[in-house]
Amino acid sequence: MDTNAASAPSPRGVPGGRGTVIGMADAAGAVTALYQAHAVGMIRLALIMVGDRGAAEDVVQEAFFGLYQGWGRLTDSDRALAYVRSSVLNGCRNVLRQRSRNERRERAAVSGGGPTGFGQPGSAVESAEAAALIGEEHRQVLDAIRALPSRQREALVLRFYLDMSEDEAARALGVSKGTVKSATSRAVAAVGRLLQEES
Amino acid sequence: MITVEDRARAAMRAIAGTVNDAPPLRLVEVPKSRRSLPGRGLVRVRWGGWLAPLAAAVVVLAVAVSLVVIKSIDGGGPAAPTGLSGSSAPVSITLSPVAPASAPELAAAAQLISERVVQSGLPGAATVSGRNVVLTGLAADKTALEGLAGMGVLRFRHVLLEEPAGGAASGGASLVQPGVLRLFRRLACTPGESDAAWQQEAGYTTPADWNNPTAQVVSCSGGTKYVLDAATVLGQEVTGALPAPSQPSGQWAVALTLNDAGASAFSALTTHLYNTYYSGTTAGNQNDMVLDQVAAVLDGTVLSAPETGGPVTGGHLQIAGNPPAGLTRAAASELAAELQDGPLPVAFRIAETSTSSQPASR
Repeated sequence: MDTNAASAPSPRGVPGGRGTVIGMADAAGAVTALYQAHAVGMIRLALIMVGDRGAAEDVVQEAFFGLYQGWGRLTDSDRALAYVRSSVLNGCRNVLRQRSRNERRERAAVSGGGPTGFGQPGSAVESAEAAALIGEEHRQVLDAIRALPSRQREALVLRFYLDMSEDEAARALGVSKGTVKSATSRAVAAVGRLLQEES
Repeated sequence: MITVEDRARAAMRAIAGTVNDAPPLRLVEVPKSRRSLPGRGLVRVRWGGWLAPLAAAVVVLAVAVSLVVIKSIDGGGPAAPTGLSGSSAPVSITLSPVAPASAPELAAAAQLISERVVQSGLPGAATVSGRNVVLTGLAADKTALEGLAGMGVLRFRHVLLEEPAGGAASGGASLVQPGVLRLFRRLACTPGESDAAWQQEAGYTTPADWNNPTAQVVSCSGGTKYVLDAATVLGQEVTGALPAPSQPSGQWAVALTLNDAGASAFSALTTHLYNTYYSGTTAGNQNDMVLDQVAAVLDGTVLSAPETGGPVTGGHLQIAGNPPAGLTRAAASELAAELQDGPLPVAFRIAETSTSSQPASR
């Protein structure tokens, strides 16, 4: 019988862009290496955003898993970290959105509706442990940050925690430099106002 | 005077400083065996255990490894190698359709099998030869190649009755249609028997019988006998199937993604099962333990029937092997390849397997 079976099979009918066995093995190694290098930083970022360690770890886990699953579609592996960071921001936004939706529902159930006040952040969700570790004053500031609209909160965190320039933050958030500038200054003003109301 | 900016920086640094380590990355969750029943080859795992607080739970199905390798194809007796059995010897597997198939169907099936072979990283190809399809490759890959010729119809079905070998049936007989219940009682499942054997005993003659999505079906897997409900998720609702290495064990699994329809059907079923049966399961009620299960069924054979430990809403499922051996990379690649592009239009039986006496090209 024909003995050419051992030569390379023709790759017919395999649409491009699908992960191959080899590619997925590479992806696992690459994603694991990225995780080892950046997981702590990403969890810190998520924890600032959501205030809950478990939720932060889950958001980061999901982001890296998403990177792994989409590895074949990632054209430039240098973009991987930026992709993970924006997934983390996105995941945190969803956590906070879900939380405020739940709180609104609870408040509506208790009071029969009424205005949902700006500046009633989900501090109850933050673990007692984290609250004790960081102290009441810091907790108030973080509560205020979490009560901001997403864009303002993200601009503030990227600029003042990650120390990104306005240009870098604009690229990371996919908005203009001017938007970063105004969102940051509004965020600072709003946090100041919320802290004053609290004291 | 301390500015708001300074206070924000200090607070963010303070809470960030509470994190100094990260849990291990889980690209695939390692299945955790909760308990196993006597005489049962499959591991029970909880659906959506580790990500229960998150909507997008990734779920692990534990698969008895042998079931992945031994597919539902009737081997027609063991093939006796006639020549070299070394890794370089070629093998030729003749696949004949279970039911008469048209030429275009055969061509499409051969094409799909070839794609599966390429995807699983093996040398080889399938071509139409008369009324059959002939799959050629290396003798060393014989078992894998035979597996790739499986029809590859995947269903997710609610488990209604389960009877381990030598044990008693548990579940909800009242949920089973009378005819199917009679069939279940009549059927004997023997550990190690071929799929063809129990299918014949059950009066199932074509894939349309054991794959029927709208009917309750019986099944035998590793000696355990099942009644499975009409399918909740069909194979065509699986939009992605990729081999995925499992961390930190280094074992392999297959990651499945369901489309919206599949994800929402799966979510509805697991929510219902969790709400109805899970508390009874934790209390040790045997019937609830069976009824809390969803079976992943490939070509009529139960790959795994994990119990539902929480609603699974994300549409991401993973098929992993039994610890400690787990799935090999090759087995995960084969299973993924078989599921990736959907089932073959034709079901085949292996009519003949022959190895050449000539060594392959060197």
